[in-house]
Amino acid sequence: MKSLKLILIITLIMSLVSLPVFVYSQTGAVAQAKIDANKHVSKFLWFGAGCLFGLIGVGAAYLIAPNPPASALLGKDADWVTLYTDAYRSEGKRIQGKYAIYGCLTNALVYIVYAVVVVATTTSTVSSY
Amino acid sequence: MKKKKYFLPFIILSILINLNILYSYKGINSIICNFKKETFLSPLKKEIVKGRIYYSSSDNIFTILVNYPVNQNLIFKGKIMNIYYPDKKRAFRIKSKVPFILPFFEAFMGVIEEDFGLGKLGYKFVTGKKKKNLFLTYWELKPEIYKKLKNVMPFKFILGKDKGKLIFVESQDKNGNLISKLSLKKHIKYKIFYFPREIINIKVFRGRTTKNIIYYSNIKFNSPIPDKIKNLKIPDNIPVKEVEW
Repeated sequence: MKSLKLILIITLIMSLVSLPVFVYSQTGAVAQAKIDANKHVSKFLWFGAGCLFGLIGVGAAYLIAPNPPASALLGKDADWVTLYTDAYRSEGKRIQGKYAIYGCLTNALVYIVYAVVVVATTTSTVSSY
Repeated sequence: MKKKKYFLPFIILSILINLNILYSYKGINSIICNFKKETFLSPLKKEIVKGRIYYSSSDNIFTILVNYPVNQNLIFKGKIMNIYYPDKKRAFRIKSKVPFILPFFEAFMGVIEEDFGLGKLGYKFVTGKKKKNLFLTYWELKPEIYKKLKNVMPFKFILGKDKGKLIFVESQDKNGNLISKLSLKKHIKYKIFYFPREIINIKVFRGRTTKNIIYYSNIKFNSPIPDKIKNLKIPDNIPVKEVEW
């Protein structure tokens, strides 16, 4: 009975020790994917897309997922590859969408300012008559 | 008439020599080698990957068989990458809309392409100069490509050659800040080509420096690719996870 208890205690301790390692390695795939996506995704390009194409640019940003670099998958196990590619694409779309929205809002702001200036100019011209 | 007869053997000899030179200038069509890649995650911790690479331009083959730390086969065919784990009986088929940027291509590009492939990537030659025993060439991204891809591709490349051997490749942004540096060492000569057996790759991003070293060994040039590699594919009874990129 005592030996059984000992075995159970050891098993419990081992599982507690190994679980963080397992979680860490899988979390490592997600963390690495986010770092790589931040590095590779062209924020300027998607800002420009939002500026030029407005909501279409924003829509494209969320539809077109970026490709992870093939070298990142080299020597990694299958679970890591699954987590990494999913996280990379998800983070990539998030970054693309964010900057496309910034571009879209910047474009809208420019138009609003332009409209205000035009109206103000027109109003002052009319009132001068 | 006598003078013409006297010079004739020299003319024939020079033709033969030139023909020999032309004959021996045969490009590299295939490379087979072992690799060991060390990625330094921190000063004390490194990740090691080992395997064998099969490359053939004529057979359109780029296959990497990883044997450490996992058994993993990466098979590239244009815009499709198959990843197969023979021990785990799992596989992925990744379809991309654009061709993959292949791993290890730095070594292969340095050997096969005189300009490291920069011309094809949209870089133009700016200037070249001699510095001590090195010949440096400077390349910049063409303006029309820079406008579109300035956040994706480095603005400038500097190639350093020592007596025809490419020994470093440096990339910089527009302000001259280092983005990455490849140091190519321990070259072996194959005909007129120099293939590095060691490549140190240092990348700088947002103040963080990452380093990896790749060692190549047991290198064979223009050897036929084994049939088992040419015909390598994911077995039909293995479930394949398809991923569209």
